[in-house]
Amino acid sequence: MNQQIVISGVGGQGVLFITGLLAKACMAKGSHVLTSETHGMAQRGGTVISHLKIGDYASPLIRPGNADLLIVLKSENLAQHRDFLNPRGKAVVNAQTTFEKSASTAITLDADKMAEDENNPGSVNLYMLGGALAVTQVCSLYDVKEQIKNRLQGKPEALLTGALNALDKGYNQII
Amino acid sequence: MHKLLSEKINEDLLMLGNEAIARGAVEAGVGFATTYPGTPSSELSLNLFQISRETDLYFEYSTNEKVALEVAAAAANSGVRTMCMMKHVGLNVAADPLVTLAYIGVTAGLVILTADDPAMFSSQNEQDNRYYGKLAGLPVLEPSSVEEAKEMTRAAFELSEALGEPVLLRTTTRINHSSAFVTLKEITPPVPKGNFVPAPMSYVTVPAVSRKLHVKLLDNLAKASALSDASDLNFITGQGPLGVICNGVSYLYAKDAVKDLGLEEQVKILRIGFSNPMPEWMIKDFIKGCKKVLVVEEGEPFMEEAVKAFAQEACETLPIQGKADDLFSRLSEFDPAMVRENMARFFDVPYTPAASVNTADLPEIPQRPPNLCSGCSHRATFYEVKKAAKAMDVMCPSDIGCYTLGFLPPLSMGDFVLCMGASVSSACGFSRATDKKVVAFIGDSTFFHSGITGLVNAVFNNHNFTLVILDNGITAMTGHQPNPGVDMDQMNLPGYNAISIEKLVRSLGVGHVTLIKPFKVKKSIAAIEEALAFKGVSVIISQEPCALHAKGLKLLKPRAFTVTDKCLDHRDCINEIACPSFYLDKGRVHIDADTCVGCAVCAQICPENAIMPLKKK
Repeated sequence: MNQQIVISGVGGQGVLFITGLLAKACMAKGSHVLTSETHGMAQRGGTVISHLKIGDYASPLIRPGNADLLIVLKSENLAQHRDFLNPRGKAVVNAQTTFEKSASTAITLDADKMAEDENNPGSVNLYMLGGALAVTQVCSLYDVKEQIKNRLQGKPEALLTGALNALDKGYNQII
Repeated sequence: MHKLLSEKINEDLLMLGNEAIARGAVEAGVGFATTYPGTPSSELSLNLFQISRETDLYFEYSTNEKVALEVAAAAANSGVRTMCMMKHVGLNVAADPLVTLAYIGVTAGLVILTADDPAMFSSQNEQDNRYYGKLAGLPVLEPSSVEEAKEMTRAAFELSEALGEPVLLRTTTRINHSSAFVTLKEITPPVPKGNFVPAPMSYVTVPAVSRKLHVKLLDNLAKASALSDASDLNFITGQGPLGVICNGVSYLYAKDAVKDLGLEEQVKILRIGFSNPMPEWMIKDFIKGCKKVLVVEEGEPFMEEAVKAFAQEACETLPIQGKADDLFSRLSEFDPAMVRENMARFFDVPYTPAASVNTADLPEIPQRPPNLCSGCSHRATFYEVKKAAKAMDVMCPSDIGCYTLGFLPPLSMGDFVLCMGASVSSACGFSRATDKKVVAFIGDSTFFHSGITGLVNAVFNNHNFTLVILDNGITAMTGHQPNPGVDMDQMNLPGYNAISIEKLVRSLGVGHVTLIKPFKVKKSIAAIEEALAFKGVSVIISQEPCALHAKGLKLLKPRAFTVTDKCLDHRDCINEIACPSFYLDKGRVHIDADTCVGCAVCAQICPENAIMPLKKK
């Protein structure tokens, strides 16, 4: 299955972290994966965007009108990056309110509030990834959890529990 | 163990392009590596730095790119496989050693990585460094993908040794910052020491020697030309009467475009991976069977001009095009859709661009440019200089680093930015050529890189300006690399000597030297006023660790502030310093407690003293 996913947020939110998790989870299932990322100046609070292409692609960039899924970690980025979506594509957006006219494409998840309520402010990206996994079929919630376990090996247990919890909560919110 | 030192041969690992190049160097047995950090090359250096702490590899962050290449030239002429890494504009700084090193050559492989930045994601220009290959007479290799970047790094070392010349490995941001799965091959253990065999008639570049060395270089270039023609880094895929010649990441876009347009039976692609010298006979042979040739390359028409010249020699008159008003631009980077569209137009096949969703219901939103971080000491210094100089007609040359962002409102400190170190030297010029009070800004790493020579010039020629050295104790913009002023012990890295900027500046005979702690607002403004009033060269050293770096080292415990009820909504905090921790909610100013680090600068400028430390719950 060929899938193109764009992840959009701002520096410090962990866009690249969840891009890596998704890439590794898809790769573990045997898919061919390419990613392309923004580094450098963006770290200073600027927009960070990553492109993830899963399947039979040679080139790394995603162009407007081609993405199947858009994960938006900062709600105002939806306006900036929504044109990446193809007409059947879905956006999973970190926002309090729904976007009325875009209801068919934009699915909202108030990850900021969920993270704040559970005192887990650094995990907004994982709530969002959980929500996105309820929408896409590129890999399963289980596949990503395995990658998180790998990634957090040797780190404090609470970090892993918090991460897995965030992923579950995001997923359950949407499914 | 560092993940790039994995001995699991044939295993696939997800790697960033820069990691793949580092792994390629490790597999090739690189023993010596030098660099000055610069996006998009920085992660490559960082990985080799980390690897050097676990292996015999010698690695250094050099003072600047010229120094890095000169250090590397010595190692490579002592029989040690060496890599020297920089961003594209860094090679301008290293151009002096580069061109003459081509005359001298090397006795062990020297790979010079130049990371070009088409579209200028974080650079001041988008120059095409393939021309350095032409200028210096050196081979240039260009990978198309992350996987190939690793293999080509290995090939570059071998090519360098086959020719006895340094090899330029040229990447673009899209290669450096893409990730893909890369298959691990065997590691060659590094050998960081060799031997230098004196041979003055080969190494001492007086005119009599250099005349002979130039002959040798041209011989090597002829050999390189034959190697390029025979190289499997240049290859042809597909067949048909329509030709595409491409390099780097453009090859991948072209490949996808041929497939998307259904041109598999009609288009053949010549991928150039060894681009200087260009494979003359391969190209002449390729174009002979073509009706039309499209050259797909980002940047300048480097290949296009060569292909046209070869066609002329071969008396071929077919249309060959690349850069044109209705085809490819010399600006920015390419993308799959643009290549597809231009290919369809040039080969005259139908093409429908992808339909996008209608976004008409979404409001226009402002762009989110990069910003100085919450608690950034540069913000405080800029504010204080602005206050101290408010009665003066000031102009501010600035330099390359995080603090370049000070040019944005409301700080608006930055009137002229040219290249690394130019803040100081251009201040010399502006202070002579205008009647304005000149206040220049430079960071600690940039000052060491190339600001010192400008300051020597200023003292010698008795110029009249104030230089503010923003000393945050690290090379921050590129990801917190060390520089000669950094206390390495603090990072648990023994074996270095930190250089005091203050002692250095005083030793040059600067007439007025002031140290400020920028988070003490009133005191700093008073000290800056005094420095600005001085006739001659005055230097202000503003010392405060980078907040991001200090947080990373756990030297800074964020202590958030809050806006209390005393606030009368003057908004000096937002309008004059604009820290990203401020936000407005229902018309009132608030501070985001998660991002505030507690620098207390806003608390000191609030007319009602309404900003107070947040009491812990």
